[in-house]
Amino acid sequence: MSSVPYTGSMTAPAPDKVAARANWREFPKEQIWPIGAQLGLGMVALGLGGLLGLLQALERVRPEIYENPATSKYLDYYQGLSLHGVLLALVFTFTFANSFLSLTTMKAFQRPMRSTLLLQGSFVLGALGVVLAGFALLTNRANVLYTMYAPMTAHVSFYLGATLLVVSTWLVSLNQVLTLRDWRKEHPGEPMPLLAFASIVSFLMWDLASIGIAVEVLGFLIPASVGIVNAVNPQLTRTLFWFTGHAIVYFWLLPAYVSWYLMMPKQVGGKIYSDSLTRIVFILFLLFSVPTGLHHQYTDPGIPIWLKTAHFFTTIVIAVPSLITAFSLMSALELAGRSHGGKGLFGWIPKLGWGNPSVVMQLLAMLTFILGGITGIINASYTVNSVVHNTAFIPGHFHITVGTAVAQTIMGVCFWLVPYLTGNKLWQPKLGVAAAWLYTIGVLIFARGQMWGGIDGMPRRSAMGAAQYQPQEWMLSNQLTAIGGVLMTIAGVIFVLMMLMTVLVKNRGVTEIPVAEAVIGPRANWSGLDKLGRWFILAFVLIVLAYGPTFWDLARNGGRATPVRMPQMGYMPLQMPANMGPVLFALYAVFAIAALVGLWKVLLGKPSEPA
Amino acid sequence: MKIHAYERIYLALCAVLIVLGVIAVGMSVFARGVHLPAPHGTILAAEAVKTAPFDNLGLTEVAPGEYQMVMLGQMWQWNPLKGENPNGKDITIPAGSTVTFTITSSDVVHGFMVRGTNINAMVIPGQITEVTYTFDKPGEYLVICHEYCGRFHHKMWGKVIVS
Repeated sequence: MSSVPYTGSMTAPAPDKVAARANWREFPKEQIWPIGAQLGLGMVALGLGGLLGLLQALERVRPEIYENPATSKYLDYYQGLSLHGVLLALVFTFTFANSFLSLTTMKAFQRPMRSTLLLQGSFVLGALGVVLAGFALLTNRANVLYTMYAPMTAHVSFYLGATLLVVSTWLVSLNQVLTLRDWRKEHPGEPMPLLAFASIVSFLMWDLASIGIAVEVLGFLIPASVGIVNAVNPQLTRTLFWFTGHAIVYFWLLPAYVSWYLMMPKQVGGKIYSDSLTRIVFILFLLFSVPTGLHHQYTDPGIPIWLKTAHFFTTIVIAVPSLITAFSLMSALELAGRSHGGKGLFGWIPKLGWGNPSVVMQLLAMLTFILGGITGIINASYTVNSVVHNTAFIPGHFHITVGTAVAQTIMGVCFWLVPYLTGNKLWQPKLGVAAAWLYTIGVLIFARGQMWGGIDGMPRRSAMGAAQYQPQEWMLSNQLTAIGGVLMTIAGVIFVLMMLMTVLVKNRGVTEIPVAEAVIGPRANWSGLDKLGRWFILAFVLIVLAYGPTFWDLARNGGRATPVRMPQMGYMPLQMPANMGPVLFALYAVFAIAALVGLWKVLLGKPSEPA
Repeated sequence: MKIHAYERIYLALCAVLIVLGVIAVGMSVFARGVHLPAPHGTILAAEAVKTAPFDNLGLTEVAPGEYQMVMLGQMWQWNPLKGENPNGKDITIPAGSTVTFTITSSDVVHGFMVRGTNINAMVIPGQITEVTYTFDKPGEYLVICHEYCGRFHHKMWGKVIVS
């Protein structure tokens, strides 16, 4: 059926062992191991987070999973939900972006990253962050979900862990920019390789987006959790969270777009449609991801109507790059399918490499993402939002965006990335094709269940199995959620097993990083597209315009601080002696000085050499 | 910069789609009168119970067929609604009544939703939430807390009975 034969690795098996070992040898080993280690961390997060997700789905039909004396001592529904969110939405996505987009930057520039220290440091900080946050979560001290709305507070190690995870992404971004500068010195006036452009812009967007959560956590939540301040303004901290909280979905999504735009065409034997349009899409994400956050706060009492309206319009703008993406990707796929003999209106579709697990995972992710995008526009549509806000419709929506477009694409990428990093062929590729279909069917059933319930008023993030108010009409919705959850988990287990066996089973083969060329190449571009500094400043200005009035209004009318409280939450923050303020600020100062010294060292370090 | 003709057509269609969407949303606001929760003042959460109007929770008829319902979101009760709290009391109103809910929270963030209506608003400590709705159809309306507010979040609910 497929005209792109799949042999378990991306190219024909290597003629001899020497070549087979040459996989990643284009780059230094000390830069490859942190990339592999980050990815491994993400896989562990996926495995654990996915299993907790299964328990949540099953709780709807079997509440006794949590409500029995044997398990309730160890695991609370909301503890599991917090773990599920943090492991999948933060750890899994961040570690993948760090790992994948470092490698793509290296590949695009054909040189190692500028700083090995930053690359390894990113992994070490990320792992340390997982340990710190994991400690608080596993010991029932951080049941605050990944949105961590104040005045609920968690143990300080949860916030420190989350901070380190974010810092690990900043190190990657800094490393990318330094490597870009080295490359530019040697290639004055040349258009940046598209793969590098997309990888770097994804992180630049996130640098701006993460300002909100950095201010929230460092400025308010950590001081509150150690008792330096006893009160915070919940409307303000919520707004800071959503400053980051919407753009974070694009930080999850853009690595998937890098694969869809720049790698998928190569994997199906075709080309990127348009170089310039791809760059424009990524720049639009850089400009409009952050100034849209208030559409998550349409129903907040403390945000003026005119600001909600303004963010409704910027949200509509951010739909444009995804609409363009739908066109560009489909046309790239169609061109590839036709070049392999596909005829007629739909004849190109069977020619897309449905036997290649990496391709089929991502094709199915794209299909379900169409539904994800449409439901996203529903959520963002101002008044329509009142029907679905905080209902089960929302988890229904994001399981067919981050749960497919992102998670399935990551799985699809891992089908070549792990063979590339290990030098082994993918273990049992056919299982991967089965997992892709199973996951897609599962997630669609799951999402159908959740959305159905949501439109009928079923709340999100609630232990529905234990909720006594639950009307009979929601039972079908719960059953679909559980069935879908089981199917997704089976697919996830197959995937994790495949990854594990690919690492363990020695079966040498060369896998190359698939990088596609463009039909309309970079030479035809307007050179202004590559001036990233200017786009970054423009993005910053847009954020100031969109959020300046918001914070100004909150400062004037934003309400008063509310005591942070925990006793009823079933866990306690770290009990600190009084006067911890100076200690914490000393700690911040030490970290800041260490960061500055490190930065100085990196900036003065040797430029990277071409591979 | 070269942009293919198909691409231009597609982009134009996208623009039309977006404009139509914005018009539809505009009509819901201006023609149908659907409004989002707007700021209604602030309050000191720790002293909400002692602050008017939250020192006198419950339903008052302010004019014929027009009611004000003052409520407090607390872990884990929509005070004074019943839900799973023996001291609470669900409210009963005649069909066609217009109710203005005035709510705040004395502890953490809660979410106020009435199933089968478009009542949907966050209840944030320090802020006063106000929502108005006309209950035309008789029946039992489920009031739910839809924002995670701690261990027994799913026990926070109540009922509005329209007779």
